[in-house]
Amino acid sequence: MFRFHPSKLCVTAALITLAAQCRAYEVSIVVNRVDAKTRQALQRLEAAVSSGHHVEVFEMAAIPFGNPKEEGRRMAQIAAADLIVPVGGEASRFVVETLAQNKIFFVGATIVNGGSLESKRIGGLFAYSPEGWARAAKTISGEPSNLGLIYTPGFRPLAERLSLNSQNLGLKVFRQELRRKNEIVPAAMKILAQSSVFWVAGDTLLSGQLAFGYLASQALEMGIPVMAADRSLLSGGAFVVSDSDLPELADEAAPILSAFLSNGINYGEDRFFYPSKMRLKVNHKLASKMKIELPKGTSPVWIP
Amino acid sequence: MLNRVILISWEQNEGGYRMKRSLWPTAAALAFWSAAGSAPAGATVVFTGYADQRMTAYGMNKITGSAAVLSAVGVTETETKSTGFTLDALGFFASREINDHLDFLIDTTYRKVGYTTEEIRIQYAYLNYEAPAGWEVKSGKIPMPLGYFNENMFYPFERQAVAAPIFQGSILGLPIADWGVSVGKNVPIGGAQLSAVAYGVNGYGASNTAGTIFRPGLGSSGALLLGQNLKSTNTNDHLAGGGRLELAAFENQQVQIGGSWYRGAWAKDTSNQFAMYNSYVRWHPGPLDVLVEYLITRTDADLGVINFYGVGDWKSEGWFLESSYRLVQNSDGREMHVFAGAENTHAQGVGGGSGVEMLSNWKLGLSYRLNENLVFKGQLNRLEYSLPIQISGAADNVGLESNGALVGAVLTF
Repeated sequence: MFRFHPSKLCVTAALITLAAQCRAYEVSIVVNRVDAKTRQALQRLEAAVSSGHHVEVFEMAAIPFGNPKEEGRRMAQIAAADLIVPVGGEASRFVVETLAQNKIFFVGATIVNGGSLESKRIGGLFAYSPEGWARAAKTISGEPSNLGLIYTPGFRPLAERLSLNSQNLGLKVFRQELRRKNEIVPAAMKILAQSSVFWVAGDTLLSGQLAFGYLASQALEMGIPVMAADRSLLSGGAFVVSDSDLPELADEAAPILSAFLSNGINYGEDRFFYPSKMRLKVNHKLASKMKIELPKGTSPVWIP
Repeated sequence: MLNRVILISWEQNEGGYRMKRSLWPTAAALAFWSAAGSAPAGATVVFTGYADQRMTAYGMNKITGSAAVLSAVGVTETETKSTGFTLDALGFFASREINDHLDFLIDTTYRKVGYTTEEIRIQYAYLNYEAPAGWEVKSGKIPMPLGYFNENMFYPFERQAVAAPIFQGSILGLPIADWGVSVGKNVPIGGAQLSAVAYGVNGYGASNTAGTIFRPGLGSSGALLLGQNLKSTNTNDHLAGGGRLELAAFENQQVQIGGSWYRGAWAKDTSNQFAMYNSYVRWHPGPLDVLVEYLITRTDADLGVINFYGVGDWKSEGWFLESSYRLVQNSDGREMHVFAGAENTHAQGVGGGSGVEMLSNWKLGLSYRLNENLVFKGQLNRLEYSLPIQISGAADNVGLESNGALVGAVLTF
């Protein structure tokens, strides 16, 4: 006869938990389009993930947007995984916005929905780092060195770290957190009045075409250079934008992702990670117009 | 539930607790489920949808006929004009992948939305199993593989025209979907692919009017229409069934040629059958897209049509053409198409009777895709329809002429 004391339930539970942590996970990797750079990034990520786990790669370009019947089927295939890994700015933005109820580890996020970042299921490696932004701000701010930050609650961890790094470099930081669209104008007015360089968080609320266009035009009118999250904002008036190399980011993301999978795809204290090297792209026309001198060798890519 | 299972799983015994023997299978399944994680933690239902808003910019309907036939159907020769907005459909698709081979798909669509919604349709809801060897099994309320349009161009975001062909769309009732099972197999043959599918469904039953009536007569609910004859239960002990064979050019599937059929007893008397035979060609070279479908239906002993054709056995025969040409395609997703369509169907009694029902329609228009989520359409159309009415043993026709200008906006989300 099988006998079992309740205290042994704890052992059983622990074993089951261990089994869950060791089990093979289904991982959906989402990319915008498979090109040479993406292929390199994929190889590095797959090498980190594939041992013991089942990986499937999805191309956003193959999703039939505009046909909700087929689009839903394809999205359901992506969402069926235990973990979704969007790779690159566009894929990260798309997955974080549309599949926020899933566990997500993004690689190379630039602009994402800040509201979704508040979810404990979502984390990953950004394409930029607070340290890099702080060094860039120090270089372009001039005197007085006043950095203005505008961000949403989802970007608070990044903004706080950026503040700290900037203060360590001798910059004065003025920051404003906001949640709604109608807070953008008063927040921008308040921060821009005190800033010599302006950083706009990569939240879709702030870095969407309309909102960013307004922020950049206000800043430019006041002669303040704007630092923005994605290269698509360069044409919208950004002075300097994040322009990271996807294979490099994949190299940095691979060990983090591997550890994350070994930990039973549970985020610990830190959900957000930042690359050790950050690449920026500068609007040189704007630089000469605003008479901002950059260190030598900043063209075409600036690593602050 | 889980707590309850755990609570009842243990009973006190000397020296500890013993699991009830009958609960071992449950416990084993729970342990396996926990350890193996058969359902991925992140698996979710994905919702997408569409809204099809239409405006009748101009509508003119004219009823014609002799005094005798108009009197027989209780109308006068009239011409009416109309204009207005309508939300033709608001649909939500839910998709859930259960595992690599199995997913569940459902479409819930709201129609005739005003102060209240008059129709809520589950247009399809089925489990879809796809095996690696090209096998595909669907079970549930499945879109019937009849022709090409029904499965591939029914939704407004799948076609350029504002409205679907009238005979299939309104009389047969698109989408043609029914409860049952289908089994399909795709076989590559050289540079082409042969697809075969067979299915068994409840099938078309009698109308809501009476068990002896298949096609309801004038004055009945859903007069002349057959869409409501597809029911959730079978009305006799015979399943309806059919199949489709399709040959598709492999490269971009630019040409698809197919034939499909359906046959089933519609009444309690299983000798009374309803059958459909369809053939189609779709040709899609580059910017041009042409679909031609030919359909024959055959119905036995339908008391609903005796007043039309003089006999209960009747058949219909007809075709439709849907075509479009892409005029503009921009890299940002904007597209413009010109489209044209035509159809002609006639129906009459078999083995006697007199009178021919005739439907003829054409349409012409433009569609403009602003982005992946929004398409605007404009369409001119003309419908000519005539229905025979038996008066003193001979058929006289009541006619309907309809001209219209439709504007549509299809939003997908």
